[in-house]
Amino acid sequence: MATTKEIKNRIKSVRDTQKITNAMYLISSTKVTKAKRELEQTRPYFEMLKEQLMSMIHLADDVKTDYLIASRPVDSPEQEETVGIVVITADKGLCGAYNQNVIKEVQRLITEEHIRSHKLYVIGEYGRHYYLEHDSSMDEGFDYSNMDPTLDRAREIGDYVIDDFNEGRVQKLYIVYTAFRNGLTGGAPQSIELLPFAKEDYALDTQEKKSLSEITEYMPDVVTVFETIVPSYVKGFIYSAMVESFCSEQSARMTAMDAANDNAEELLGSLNLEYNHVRQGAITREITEISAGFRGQKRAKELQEARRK
Amino acid sequence: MNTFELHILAAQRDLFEGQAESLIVPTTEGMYGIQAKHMNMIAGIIPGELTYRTPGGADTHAFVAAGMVIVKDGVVTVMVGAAEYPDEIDVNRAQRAAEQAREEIVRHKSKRTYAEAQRQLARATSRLKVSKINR
Repeated sequence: MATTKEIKNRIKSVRDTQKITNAMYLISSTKVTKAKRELEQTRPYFEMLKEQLMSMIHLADDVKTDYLIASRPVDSPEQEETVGIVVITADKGLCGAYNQNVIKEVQRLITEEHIRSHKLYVIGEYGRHYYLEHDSSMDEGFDYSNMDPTLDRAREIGDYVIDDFNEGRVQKLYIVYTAFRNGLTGGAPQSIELLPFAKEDYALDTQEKKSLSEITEYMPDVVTVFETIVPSYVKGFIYSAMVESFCSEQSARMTAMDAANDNAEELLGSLNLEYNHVRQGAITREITEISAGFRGQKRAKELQEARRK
Repeated sequence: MNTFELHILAAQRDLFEGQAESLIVPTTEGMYGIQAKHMNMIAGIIPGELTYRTPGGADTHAFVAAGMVIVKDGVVTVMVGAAEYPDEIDVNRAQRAAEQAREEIVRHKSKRTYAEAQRQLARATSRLKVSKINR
């Protein structure tokens, strides 16, 4: 059985760990608030950008650009096609199944879309380490973290992947991120096709189309304007995906840390019980020893006196 | 002079919202001026200097990053990735960015860094140019 000193050490170490998990819990909750506020600031801009982009897609029957295709081919992936996948993971663990869920979603995407050749752009240290060992198609020069996402970083990332798309190194771009759902459920991993846009996804009837096309003159032409805007839109999307992932990560961490706190509490309870038990045991033993010794001495004295008589 | 409603919207802030007499924006086709009763149009904006004139007032200058300008039913909306007034521009940061970009262009390690460096240089030099206004 453990001695009181050992149990005391154990209690102290559990308390220290609990302090850490508690601090992580608090930090996570403030970070979520901050990231959400920053995302809200950018929302009006990107909402409007999206609106413009959609209307351009509708009326631009004659738009010939790599960014737009008429419809998605049904189940007939071209052989030579390379698909770029942006994967958003965390920098560290301690957040439940968050990272694993993202990695699983990437696997699902690759098998279900019958992607034969892919290239991974992994954000976050956890994912980088995982794919370094498990997947040779990761772009190792692509090194970004998803800690406190900023629009600037999203721009850099956007420039990087759009360049690859423009240069023909990838023919499609997906993004796998964790959509934020409020509350304790954390988030759900999701994959979205970033580029190219498919016209069929934004179908309108002819009436609506007509009302849109009367509005505007493009300068110099639709294609140029379209191509100027698409990168901004993609970057905006990447940014919001980063923020959502970050919020999901933090809330997953909050849940995990909350569970860790509860667990520590429980552990402390049983350790305290054990400590008291052992301490009481020691006291009882001491008393027994003392009284036994006293009785022994008393008997010895009595025997001596009896002999003297 | 006739005025029109102008809204300059950047990704992380609203730069300006109100009446204006004229607006000059750097578009893909060069500097483009807009006044009241302009026809409906959409044009792409490249990094550079934007100027607008409020009713009776003087010209206000600002740096803008890439984006677009929309004229619809007399309302002008400028949507750009970033927008800053001259006194808000971090000159040191812009200078550093410009130097860094020039260096990368000289070394041109790969096509990617070259294209990125050129964009960076365009932004930095426009910022520096705009920051010198009103000084």
